[in-house]
Amino acid sequence: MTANSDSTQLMEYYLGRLRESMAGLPAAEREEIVAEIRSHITERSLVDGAVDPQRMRETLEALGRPEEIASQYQTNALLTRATGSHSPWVMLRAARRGAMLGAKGFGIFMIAVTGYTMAATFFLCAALKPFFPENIGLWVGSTVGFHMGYRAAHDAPAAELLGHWLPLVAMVLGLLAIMGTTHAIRVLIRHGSRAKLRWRAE
Amino acid sequence: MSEHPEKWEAQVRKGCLELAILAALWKGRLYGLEILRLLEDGSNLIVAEGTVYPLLSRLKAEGLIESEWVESEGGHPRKYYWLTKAGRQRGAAMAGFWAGFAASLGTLIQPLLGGKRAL
Repeated sequence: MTANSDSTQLMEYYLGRLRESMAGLPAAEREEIVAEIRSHITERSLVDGAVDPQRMRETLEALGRPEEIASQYQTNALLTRATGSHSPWVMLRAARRGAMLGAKGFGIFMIAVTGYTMAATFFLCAALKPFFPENIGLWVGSTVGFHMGYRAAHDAPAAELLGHWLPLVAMVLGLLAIMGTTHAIRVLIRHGSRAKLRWRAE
Repeated sequence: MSEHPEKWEAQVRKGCLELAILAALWKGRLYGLEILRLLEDGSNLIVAEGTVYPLLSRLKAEGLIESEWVESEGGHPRKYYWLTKAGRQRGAAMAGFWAGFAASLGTLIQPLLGGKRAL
Protein backbone atom coordinates (compact mmCIF):
# COMPACT_ATOMS: atom_id res chain seq x y z
CA MET A 1 0.00 0.00 0.00
CA THR A 2 2.70 2.49 1.02
CA ALA A 3 4.95 1.21 -1.76
CA ASN A 4 2.15 1.86 -4.19
CA SER A 5 1.55 5.45 -3.12
CA ASP A 6 5.31 6.10 -3.15
CA SER A 7 5.37 4.89 -6.74
CA THR A 8 2.45 7.13 -7.64
CA GLN A 9 4.28 10.08 -6.09
CA LEU A 10 7.41 9.25 -8.05
CA MET A 11 5.42 9.11 -11.29
CA GLU A 12 3.64 12.39 -10.53
CA TYR A 13 7.00 14.02 -9.78
CA TYR A 14 8.33 12.82 -13.14
CA LEU A 15 5.21 13.99 -15.01
CA GLY A 16 5.33 17.33 -13.17
CA ARG A 17 8.87 17.92 -14.38
CA LEU A 18 7.83 16.94 -17.90
CA ARG A 19 4.88 19.34 -17.83
CA GLU A 20 6.96 22.23 -16.48
CA SER A 21 9.62 21.75 -19.14
CA MET A 22 7.02 22.08 -21.91
CA ALA A 23 5.86 25.54 -20.86
CA GLY A 24 6.18 26.75 -24.46
CA LEU A 25 3.52 24.39 -25.81
CA PRO A 26 -0.26 24.97 -25.85
CA ALA A 27 -1.91 23.56 -22.69
CA ALA A 28 -4.06 21.00 -24.54
CA GLU A 29 -1.07 19.60 -26.40
CA ARG A 30 0.97 19.48 -23.19
CA GLU A 31 -1.72 17.55 -21.33
CA GLU A 32 -2.09 15.06 -24.14
CA ILE A 33 1.65 14.36 -24.06
CA VAL A 34 1.57 13.96 -20.27
CA ALA A 35 -1.40 11.57 -20.60
CA GLU A 36 0.46 9.46 -23.15
CA ILE A 37 3.63 9.23 -21.01
CA ARG A 38 1.46 8.48 -17.94
CA SER A 39 -0.19 5.65 -19.83
CA HIS A 40 3.25 4.31 -20.80
CA ILE A 41 4.63 4.46 -17.24
CA THR A 42 1.52 2.89 -15.71
CA GLU A 43 1.39 -0.03 -18.07
CA ARG A 44 5.13 -0.66 -18.12
CA SER A 45 5.31 -0.70 -14.31
CA LEU A 46 2.74 -3.47 -13.90
CA VAL A 47 3.83 -6.82 -12.51
CA ASP A 48 0.98 -9.34 -12.31
CA GLY A 49 -1.59 -6.59 -12.68
CA ALA A 50 -0.22 -4.34 -9.92
CA VAL A 51 2.23 -1.42 -10.02
CA ASP A 52 5.64 -2.61 -8.88
CA PRO A 53 7.89 0.05 -7.30
CA GLN A 54 11.12 -1.47 -8.63
CA ARG A 55 9.66 -1.82 -12.14
CA MET A 56 8.44 1.78 -11.98
CA ARG A 57 11.97 3.04 -11.23
CA GLU A 58 13.33 1.03 -14.15
CA THR A 59 10.59 2.38 -16.41
CA LEU A 60 11.41 6.00 -15.55
CA GLU A 61 15.12 5.31 -15.96
CA ALA A 62 14.54 3.82 -19.42
CA LEU A 63 12.40 6.79 -20.48
CA GLY A 64 15.25 9.21 -19.85
CA ARG A 65 15.18 12.67 -18.28
CA PRO A 66 11.78 14.38 -18.64
CA GLU A 67 13.54 17.62 -19.64
CA GLU A 68 15.11 15.76 -22.55
CA ILE A 69 11.75 14.45 -23.79
CA ALA A 70 10.21 17.91 -23.36
CA SER A 71 13.04 19.51 -25.30
CA GLN A 72 12.41 17.19 -28.26
CA TYR A 73 8.70 18.03 -28.29
CA GLN A 74 9.51 21.76 -28.10
CA THR A 75 12.05 21.54 -30.91
CA ASN A 76 9.46 19.75 -33.07
CA ALA A 77 6.84 22.39 -32.38
CA LEU A 78 9.16 25.32 -32.99
CA LEU A 79 10.55 23.95 -36.25
CA THR A 80 7.05 23.17 -37.49
CA ARG A 81 5.99 26.70 -36.66
CA ALA A 82 9.12 28.31 -38.14
CA THR A 83 8.69 26.63 -41.53
CA GLY A 84 5.10 27.91 -41.71
CA SER A 85 5.69 31.38 -40.31
CA HIS A 86 6.94 34.78 -41.48
CA SER A 87 7.33 36.37 -38.08
CA PRO A 88 10.88 37.52 -37.19
CA TRP A 89 10.06 36.74 -33.55
CA VAL A 90 9.29 33.07 -34.27
CA MET A 91 12.35 32.91 -36.55
CA LEU A 92 14.64 34.31 -33.87
CA ARG A 93 13.30 31.86 -31.27
CA ALA A 94 13.70 28.91 -33.62
CA ALA A 95 17.20 30.07 -34.56
CA ARG A 96 18.15 30.59 -30.92
CA ARG A 97 17.01 27.07 -30.13
CA GLY A 98 19.04 25.81 -33.07
CA ALA A 99 22.10 27.71 -31.86
CA MET A 100 22.22 25.55 -28.76
CA LEU A 101 22.14 22.38 -30.80
CA GLY A 102 25.23 22.58 -32.98
CA ALA A 103 27.59 24.54 -35.20
CA LYS A 104 25.20 24.76 -38.15
CA GLY A 105 22.40 25.92 -35.89
CA PHE A 106 24.72 28.56 -34.50
CA GLY A 107 25.44 29.75 -38.04
CA ILE A 108 21.72 30.15 -38.72
CA PHE A 109 21.36 32.04 -35.45
CA MET A 110 24.15 34.44 -36.47
CA ILE A 111 22.47 35.05 -39.84
CA ALA A 112 19.21 35.81 -38.03
CA VAL A 113 20.82 38.22 -35.58
CA THR A 114 22.89 39.97 -38.26
CA GLY A 115 19.99 40.27 -40.71
CA TYR A 116 17.47 41.59 -38.21
CA THR A 117 20.03 43.97 -36.67
CA MET A 118 20.71 45.36 -40.13
CA ALA A 119 16.97 45.84 -40.68
CA ALA A 120 16.62 47.57 -37.31
CA THR A 121 19.51 49.93 -38.20
CA PHE A 122 17.83 50.92 -41.47
CA PHE A 123 14.56 51.65 -39.66
CA LEU A 124 16.43 53.62 -37.03
CA CYS A 125 18.08 55.73 -39.74
CA ALA A 126 14.70 56.41 -41.35
CA ALA A 127 13.17 57.38 -38.02
CA LEU A 128 16.04 59.65 -36.92
CA LYS A 129 16.61 61.48 -40.21
CA PRO A 130 14.00 64.21 -39.49
CA PHE A 131 15.68 64.95 -36.13
CA PHE A 132 19.30 64.91 -37.31
CA PRO A 133 19.04 65.92 -40.99
CA GLU A 134 22.73 66.92 -41.14
CA ASN A 135 24.12 63.81 -39.49
CA ILE A 136 22.10 60.86 -40.79
CA GLY A 137 22.68 59.92 -44.38
CA LEU A 138 24.18 57.66 -46.98
CA TRP A 139 27.77 58.80 -46.85
CA VAL A 140 30.48 58.48 -49.45
CA GLY A 141 34.04 59.66 -48.78
CA SER A 142 37.64 58.61 -49.33
CA THR A 143 38.13 57.73 -45.67
CA VAL A 144 34.62 56.71 -44.59
CA GLY A 145 33.98 54.54 -47.63
CA PHE A 146 30.33 53.93 -48.29
CA HIS A 147 27.93 53.63 -45.38
CA MET A 148 24.53 54.55 -44.09
CA GLY A 149 24.21 55.92 -40.60
CA TYR A 150 25.32 58.69 -38.27
CA ARG A 151 28.23 61.01 -39.01
CA ALA A 152 29.36 63.80 -36.69
CA ALA A 153 30.30 67.20 -38.16
CA HIS A 154 33.97 66.87 -37.18
CA ASP A 155 34.35 63.38 -38.74
CA ALA A 156 36.22 62.80 -41.98
CA PRO A 157 34.65 64.65 -44.92
CA ALA A 158 32.01 62.76 -46.85
CA ALA A 159 29.21 63.54 -49.28
CA GLU A 160 25.61 62.63 -48.58
CA LEU A 161 23.79 61.01 -51.50
CA LEU A 162 20.12 60.67 -50.64
CA GLY A 163 18.93 63.81 -48.89
CA HIS A 164 15.15 63.75 -48.34
CA TRP A 165 14.93 60.40 -50.03
CA LEU A 166 16.79 58.72 -47.18
CA PRO A 167 13.81 57.74 -44.97
CA LEU A 168 12.04 56.09 -47.90
CA VAL A 169 15.14 54.29 -49.16
CA ALA A 170 16.09 53.19 -45.62
CA MET A 171 12.56 51.86 -45.02
CA VAL A 172 12.65 49.86 -48.23
CA LEU A 173 16.13 48.49 -47.42
CA GLY A 174 14.95 47.62 -43.89
CA LEU A 175 11.96 45.72 -45.25
CA LEU A 176 14.16 43.92 -47.76
CA ALA A 177 16.57 42.96 -44.96
CA ILE A 178 13.72 41.51 -42.86
CA MET A 179 12.20 39.61 -45.76
CA GLY A 180 15.58 38.36 -46.97
CA THR A 181 16.64 37.17 -43.53
CA THR A 182 13.31 35.46 -42.83
CA HIS A 183 13.39 33.75 -46.20
CA ALA A 184 17.00 32.61 -45.71
CA ILE A 185 16.24 31.10 -42.30
CA ARG A 186 13.13 29.32 -43.58
CA VAL A 187 15.09 27.80 -46.44
CA LEU A 188 18.00 26.82 -44.18
CA ILE A 189 15.71 25.25 -41.59
CA ARG A 190 13.68 23.40 -44.19
CA HIS A 191 16.57 22.00 -46.21
CA GLY A 192 18.81 19.68 -44.33
CA SER A 193 19.21 21.44 -41.08
CA ARG A 194 15.68 20.47 -40.05
CA ALA A 195 16.75 16.88 -39.65
CA LYS A 196 20.14 17.88 -38.33
CA LEU A 197 18.79 20.14 -35.62
CA ARG A 198 16.51 17.42 -34.42
CA TRP A 199 19.31 14.94 -34.60
CA ARG A 200 21.39 17.06 -32.29
CA ALA A 201 18.52 17.70 -29.91
CA GLU A 202 19.30 14.38 -28.25
CA MET B 1 31.54 18.02 -33.06
CA SER B 2 33.05 15.12 -31.16
CA GLU B 3 33.51 11.96 -33.17
CA HIS B 4 33.28 9.19 -30.61
CA PRO B 5 32.29 5.83 -32.01
CA GLU B 6 29.39 5.60 -29.52
CA LYS B 7 28.11 8.87 -30.91
CA TRP B 8 28.19 7.48 -34.45
CA GLU B 9 26.28 4.39 -33.34
CA ALA B 10 23.71 6.55 -31.58
CA GLN B 11 23.26 8.57 -34.77
CA VAL B 12 22.76 5.49 -36.91
CA ARG B 13 20.18 4.18 -34.44
CA LYS B 14 18.44 7.51 -34.40
CA GLY B 15 18.40 7.79 -38.15
CA CYS B 16 16.80 4.38 -38.49
CA LEU B 17 14.18 4.94 -35.83
CA GLU B 18 11.75 6.68 -38.16
CA LEU B 19 11.85 3.80 -40.64
CA ALA B 20 11.57 1.27 -37.81
CA ILE B 21 8.41 2.95 -36.52
CA LEU B 22 6.81 3.07 -39.96
CA ALA B 23 7.71 -0.62 -40.36
CA ALA B 24 6.24 -1.50 -36.96
CA LEU B 25 2.94 0.10 -37.96
CA TRP B 26 2.88 -1.58 -41.38
CA LYS B 27 0.54 -4.39 -40.33
CA GLY B 28 -1.91 -2.35 -38.32
CA ARG B 29 -2.57 0.03 -35.46
CA LEU B 30 -0.47 -0.06 -32.30
CA TYR B 31 -0.06 2.10 -29.21
CA GLY B 32 3.29 3.55 -28.09
CA LEU B 33 4.34 0.74 -25.75
CA GLU B 34 3.50 -1.93 -28.34
CA ILE B 35 5.67 -0.13 -30.87
CA LEU B 36 8.49 0.04 -28.32
CA ARG B 37 8.21 -3.67 -27.57
CA LEU B 38 8.31 -4.51 -31.26
CA LEU B 39 11.43 -2.39 -31.70
CA GLU B 40 13.07 -3.97 -28.65
CA ASP B 41 12.62 -7.51 -29.88
CA GLY B 42 15.95 -8.61 -31.25
CA SER B 43 17.22 -5.12 -32.08
CA ASN B 44 19.00 -2.59 -29.90
CA LEU B 45 17.46 0.28 -31.78
CA ILE B 46 16.27 2.23 -28.75
CA VAL B 47 18.65 4.33 -26.68
CA ALA B 48 16.18 6.25 -24.51
CA GLU B 49 12.58 5.04 -24.68
CA GLY B 50 11.38 8.62 -24.23
CA THR B 51 12.61 9.53 -27.73
CA VAL B 52 9.92 7.40 -29.40
CA TYR B 53 7.03 9.60 -28.26
CA PRO B 54 8.30 12.95 -29.61
CA LEU B 55 9.16 11.15 -32.84
CA LEU B 56 5.59 9.78 -33.10
CA SER B 57 4.35 13.32 -32.56
CA ARG B 58 6.53 14.62 -35.39
CA LEU B 59 5.46 11.85 -37.78
CA LYS B 60 1.89 12.81 -37.02
CA ALA B 61 2.62 16.50 -37.65
CA GLU B 62 4.09 15.48 -41.01
CA GLY B 63 0.92 13.59 -41.89
CA LEU B 64 2.59 10.16 -42.01
CA ILE B 65 0.57 8.66 -39.15
CA GLU B 66 -2.77 9.29 -37.43
CA SER B 67 -3.73 8.68 -33.79
CA GLU B 68 -6.72 8.04 -31.56
CA TRP B 69 -7.28 7.51 -27.83
CA VAL B 70 -8.90 4.20 -26.86
CA GLU B 71 -9.99 3.07 -23.41
CA SER B 72 -8.38 -0.23 -22.36
CA GLU B 73 -9.89 -2.99 -20.23
CA GLY B 74 -7.28 -2.10 -17.57
CA GLY B 75 -8.94 1.28 -17.18
CA HIS B 76 -6.21 3.56 -18.53
CA PRO B 77 -6.49 5.02 -22.03
CA ARG B 78 -3.99 4.23 -24.76
CA LYS B 79 -3.06 6.34 -27.76
CA TYR B 80 -3.13 4.20 -30.91
CA TYR B 81 -1.28 5.08 -34.10
CA TRP B 82 -1.69 3.92 -37.68
CA LEU B 83 -0.15 4.77 -41.05
CA THR B 84 -1.79 7.23 -43.42
CA LYS B 85 -1.53 6.80 -47.17
CA ALA B 86 1.40 9.23 -47.18
CA GLY B 87 2.99 7.21 -44.37
CA ARG B 88 2.76 3.97 -46.36
CA GLN B 89 4.34 5.66 -49.38
CA ARG B 90 7.11 7.16 -47.27
CA GLY B 91 7.74 3.83 -45.51
CA ALA B 92 7.96 1.95 -48.80
CA ALA B 93 10.31 4.57 -50.26
CA MET B 94 12.55 4.51 -47.15
CA ALA B 95 12.63 0.72 -47.12
CA GLY B 96 13.63 0.67 -50.80
CA PHE B 97 16.41 3.16 -50.19
CA TRP B 98 17.59 1.28 -47.12
CA ALA B 99 17.75 -2.09 -48.88
CA GLY B 100 19.93 -0.71 -51.68
CA PHE B 101 22.06 1.29 -49.29
CA ALA B 102 22.66 -1.63 -46.93
CA ALA B 103 23.52 -3.96 -49.80
CA SER B 104 26.16 -1.67 -51.34
CA LEU B 105 27.66 -0.71 -47.98
CA GLY B 106 27.68 -4.37 -47.00
CA THR B 107 29.82 -5.19 -50.02
CA LEU B 108 32.13 -2.28 -49.31
CA ILE B 109 32.80 -3.14 -45.69
CA GLN B 110 33.36 -6.83 -46.26
CA PRO B 111 37.18 -6.54 -46.02
CA LEU B 112 36.82 -4.74 -42.68
CA LEU B 113 35.02 -7.70 -41.18
CA GLY B 114 38.07 -9.97 -41.58
CA GLY B 115 37.14 -13.61 -41.56
CA LYS B 116 33.44 -12.96 -41.02
CA ARG B 117 31.16 -12.53 -44.00
CA ALA B 118 28.89 -9.54 -44.20
CA LEU B 119 25.20 -10.29 -44.39
